[in-house]
Amino acid sequence: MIERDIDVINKLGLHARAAAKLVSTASRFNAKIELAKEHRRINAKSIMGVMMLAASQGTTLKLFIEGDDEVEAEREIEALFQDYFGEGE
Amino acid sequence: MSETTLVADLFRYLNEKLELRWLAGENSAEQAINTNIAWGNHPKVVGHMNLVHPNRVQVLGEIELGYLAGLEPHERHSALDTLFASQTTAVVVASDHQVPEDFLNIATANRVPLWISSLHSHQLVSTLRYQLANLFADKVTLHGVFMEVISVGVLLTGESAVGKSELALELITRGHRLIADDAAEFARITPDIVSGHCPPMLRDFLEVRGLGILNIREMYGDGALKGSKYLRLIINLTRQDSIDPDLERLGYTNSVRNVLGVDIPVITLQMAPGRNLAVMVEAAVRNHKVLARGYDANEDLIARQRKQMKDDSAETTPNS
Repeated sequence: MIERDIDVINKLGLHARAAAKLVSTASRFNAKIELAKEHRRINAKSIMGVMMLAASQGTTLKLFIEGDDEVEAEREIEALFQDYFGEGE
Repeated sequence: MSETTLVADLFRYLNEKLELRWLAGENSAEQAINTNIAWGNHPKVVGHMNLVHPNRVQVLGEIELGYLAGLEPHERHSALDTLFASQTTAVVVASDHQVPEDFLNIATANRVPLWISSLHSHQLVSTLRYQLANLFADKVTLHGVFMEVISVGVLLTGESAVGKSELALELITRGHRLIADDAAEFARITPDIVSGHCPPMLRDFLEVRGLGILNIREMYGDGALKGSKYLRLIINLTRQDSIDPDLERLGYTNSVRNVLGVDIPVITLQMAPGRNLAVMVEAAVRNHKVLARGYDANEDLIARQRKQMKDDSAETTPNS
């Protein structure tokens, strides 16, 4: 079980395209992956859920990962956030 | 039209709608019709007969016949020469008007069909325009099952044995209608409409692997079939995971396919065990109709989320 904070650093935040990227990355793993903003906790493999967080730049989310491939999943998801979801800003 | 159309074919085709009779020029019946209509090729000299174009069907009504009757003999001779030039496809006399003897002679001499109809000239012109557009429209045969789903013409495509016919069968049992299996013929009948129908030989038939050839009309009744329909949507069935997963989730798989110069939207659906494709197709068609009305659910969700993010930042900014 991994539980950690993760910052949204890209300019547009978790908007539609970034959310779609996050969901497709998360969906590649068997582990149960969830994100939480304040008291709202959602499944990171669901596009509607991720978009509902409406996480803008500067938001700190909580990331929960549990499963046999949790280490790889955390690494990839962190890389995606660090890479500004491939948007360059 | 790819194969050659003979004058006799054109007569037979038009005859049903126009009640045509031969007056003269029967010796032209075996001539092929030049379908390469040169729309831009207008005569350079302005004159009384400059509305006579090669490769066209000319209609003579009361006014035209009156004009020709009022001409001096030598003018009349050259006018008839222009009218019955060998490139004229056919001349049709409207409203059963009396036709002078020299018309018949020159039509036969120049091997130009001369027909007569009881229809009025304006009826004749509008019917001819419609019928000729249908007869000489650009045509193409597409592989797939062409169906009417919730009153929308949908072509189901995909490689063979992907399950198109099974899906068609399921749609038929759900009350949708079959137009053509395997080889639907499409024609562009106006600049932005492609209409599809079934070649007569294959009408009523659907081939399903394991069941063989089925006659849908005999099995499900006339209500399960439709004669023709405008093509509005293509649903492509695929087995591989070839779709970019990033894009799939937000419905960005939609693309277009050019059919006879008209862009038709394409939705790609993946075949997978346990997926009810008939329901998926119905939903895709309903969504297509909603999109056509101007509402896009993706855009709506994205806009709502954008607004939420803006509202959130407006709330937090004053405090920070």
